[in-house]
Amino acid sequence: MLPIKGPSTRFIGYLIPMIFFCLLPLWVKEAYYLHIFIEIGIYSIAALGIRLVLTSGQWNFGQAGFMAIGGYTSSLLVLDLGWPPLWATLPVASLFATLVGLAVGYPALSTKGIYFAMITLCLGLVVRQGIITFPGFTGGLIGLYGVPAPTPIPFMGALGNWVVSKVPAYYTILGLLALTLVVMHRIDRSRLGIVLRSISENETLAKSAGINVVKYKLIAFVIASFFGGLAGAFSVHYHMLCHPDSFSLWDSIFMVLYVVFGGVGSIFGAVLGTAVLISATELLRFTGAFRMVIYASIMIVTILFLPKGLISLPQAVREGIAKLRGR
Amino acid sequence: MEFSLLMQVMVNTAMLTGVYVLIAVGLNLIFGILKIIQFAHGQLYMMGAFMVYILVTGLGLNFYLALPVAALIVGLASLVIERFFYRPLKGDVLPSLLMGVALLVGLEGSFQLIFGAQEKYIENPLPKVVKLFGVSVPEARLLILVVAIASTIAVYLFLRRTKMGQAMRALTQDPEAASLQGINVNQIRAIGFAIASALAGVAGGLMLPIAYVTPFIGSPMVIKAFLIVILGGMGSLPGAVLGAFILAAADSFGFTFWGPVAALIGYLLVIVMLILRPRGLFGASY
Repeated sequence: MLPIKGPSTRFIGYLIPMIFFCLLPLWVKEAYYLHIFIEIGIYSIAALGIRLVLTSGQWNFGQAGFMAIGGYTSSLLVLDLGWPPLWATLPVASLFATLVGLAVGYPALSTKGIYFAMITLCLGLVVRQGIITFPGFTGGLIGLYGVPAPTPIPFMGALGNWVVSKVPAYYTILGLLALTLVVMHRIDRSRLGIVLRSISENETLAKSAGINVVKYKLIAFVIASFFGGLAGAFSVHYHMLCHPDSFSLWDSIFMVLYVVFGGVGSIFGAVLGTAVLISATELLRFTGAFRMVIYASIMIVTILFLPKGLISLPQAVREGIAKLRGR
Repeated sequence: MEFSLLMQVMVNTAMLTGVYVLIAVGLNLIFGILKIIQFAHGQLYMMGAFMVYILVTGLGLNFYLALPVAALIVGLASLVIERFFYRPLKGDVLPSLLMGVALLVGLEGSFQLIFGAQEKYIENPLPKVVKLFGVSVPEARLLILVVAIASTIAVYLFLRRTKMGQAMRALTQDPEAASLQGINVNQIRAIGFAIASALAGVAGGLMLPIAYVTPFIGSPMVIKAFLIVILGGMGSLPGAVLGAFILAAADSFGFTFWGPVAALIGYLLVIVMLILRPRGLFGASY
């Protein structure tokens, strides 16, 4: 990162990318590329939740399950209860996912490490299996088709039609991602963030310092569930389809990877990891059968040379140069 | 309930238990001695199936001969994986995790590149049906069970009765203390990794007469194996066997008689068990 000192320069450091992404649709006209950006946005929000849980030293392999809960809640509120799409259902769906996170997280966090990871993994499987088991309610393996686009709001209408153009969806997810980043940034800087990091570094020590370890881990997990639900709810209205395969176990696993690949140390690591790996999947399509091999090679090279994630690349380069100069 | 259907399901349970045991015992071993979650373990199962396929259809080898050869090849390939992909990470949890999935994607991708994505079969080399206590059991399924039992006993004896097995158990308990006792930690890890991988390879080869192989058969297996290892208790061989049986029974009995609800209840039970008894049914060490 650049040596940012005063608050004014730091503000500019965030302002420039913000302006860039706000103006992006002016240059990027093709719907396909905007689609990639939107997908990155959706998964970044969910991945940021995973990262928060990771900062407390716990693995969350069930985030796709929370996305499914958010997505199905929002879909069913609209399709079965006739709620207006998205703007009202988004917070309700996210809060419902949060409640599930609380109900599961409280007993589950009596365990830790690999056991907690496996509980979250099973939770994702339970959600998916639940969807398949009750097809009358959830559409089963066929999914719920015709999840409507959000009701147009005045400002959004000016950007174009949700169904035809990707621009309104782009700005919506941009706003949601910005919101998520602000929340995560505040958490990182707050006492909560410090406590979470101290737990991951040495849980026994944190405990002996009088920290209610389970409580703080639970807070992190519940916040992660909220953002999982948020990402899921947006995603079904964006794709206009709610399908169990959109929220599979491997989605959960890959989201953990996005975070680790980008680097757990910074919130931007999660976004960077998600962005690089999702765009790699999409942009490597032209390589056909080689795609998976190239994708895996990118990951392997990064792990071997940048164990702290892609976000540590500038630092690694600086250290490399310093080493060269020293000789 | 029809008697023949019940028997059919029981035979299926026994066969699935055999396959699951072979995979889960290896995963358990790797977790014990390398302290990593080997996400690409299922790909070694896939590799085993492909190797047998090549040896039987390409080189015209006898199936019984192809099986150990395939296991050997998978074991050697896994040595490369351990040496060049896992060892440089020094057991760091998060990078190892990422590496596992990268290897999973990479191996699936390379096999798809070389062999294509279409399903491949071999002509069943064991088409006979054996009468066992009045029940007809296809020979191929019987072989799975026999090999699984023999391998599990062999692994058990290896861990219990040999010097190297003892070193592995020491490594499971405390790597640092083990290396202070003069145990070559890297060597033992590599051997353990190779044995575990060869077991998965054998499982893949054994499934070939009754199933097809594609580059993608590995990933669902590894999740099953995780559940088994967790259910049975990490680091416990009898636990892995019991876990494999429970999962196999849930898969065949549950699905035949109750449909998808069985899997739902199964996953919920695993969660409840993890919360109440996180160390698994047998939380002991080797």
